[in-house]
Amino acid sequence: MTQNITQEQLILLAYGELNAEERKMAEDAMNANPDLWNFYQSVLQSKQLLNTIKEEPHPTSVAIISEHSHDSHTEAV
Amino acid sequence: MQKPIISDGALLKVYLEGNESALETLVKRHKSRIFTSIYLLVNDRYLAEDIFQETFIKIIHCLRTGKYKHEDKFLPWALRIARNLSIDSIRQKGRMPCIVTDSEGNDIFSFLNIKEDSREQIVIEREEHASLHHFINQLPAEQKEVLVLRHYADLSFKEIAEMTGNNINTCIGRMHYALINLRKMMQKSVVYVK
Repeated sequence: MTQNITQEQLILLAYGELNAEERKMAEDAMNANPDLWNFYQSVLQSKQLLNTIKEEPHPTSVAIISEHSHDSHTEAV
Repeated sequence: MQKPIISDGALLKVYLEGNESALETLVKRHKSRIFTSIYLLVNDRYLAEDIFQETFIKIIHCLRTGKYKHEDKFLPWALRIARNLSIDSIRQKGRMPCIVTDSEGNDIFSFLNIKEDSREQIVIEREEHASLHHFINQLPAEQKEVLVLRHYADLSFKEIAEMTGNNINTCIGRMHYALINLRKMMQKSVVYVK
């Protein structure tokens, strides 16, 4: 018998926030219910798509932080 | 042999003992997650650069004045500072994102596994990237916040709940709607292009 698994729980599964027992329940539910499986696949695909955005600060920003750290250390000493 | 990874807590300890390069390691380790989160929250690269700098200047101040007590939770703490500064900035500028809803059509995600090195493919990927960024910014503020903090900042829903002062189920529900709304917007854009 499969437990009632919600779409929210599948989001938790996709983000690695279910324990082993909960994971097993979610997997069993997906095997028994194609709608849940399709939803889970769509979440994984969305994650993959979201991963295409990765921004980096300009090196100047990082340099300003290092400079500030150095100055504040010098002042403290 | 692989170099052992020094924890954030250990780096902070060394930094407070006077080793400046420890902070550089911390910045290098977390800059992308923190900056991407800020950038997506404020939707302005120049402003994001300012907030990113301000976040670390505040972090340095807290460390130097002994106000940091979270030892092993540096990233959630840093992101809390970044988030608060971002929210202040959004409030000052009066930016209120709005929602775009509903459509039916083909699924853009089914096309995403196709990878070709052609110039056309590169252009398509750039357009998709720009569209995705745009769509994230069309989400209601509370959905966008959870999406950014869970996916880009890599905070757990529990940490997001603590940070935002909301119930964990509320946060998960917002993520659910954010993913559904993003999908709808992407589908709508495919229909529009056709």
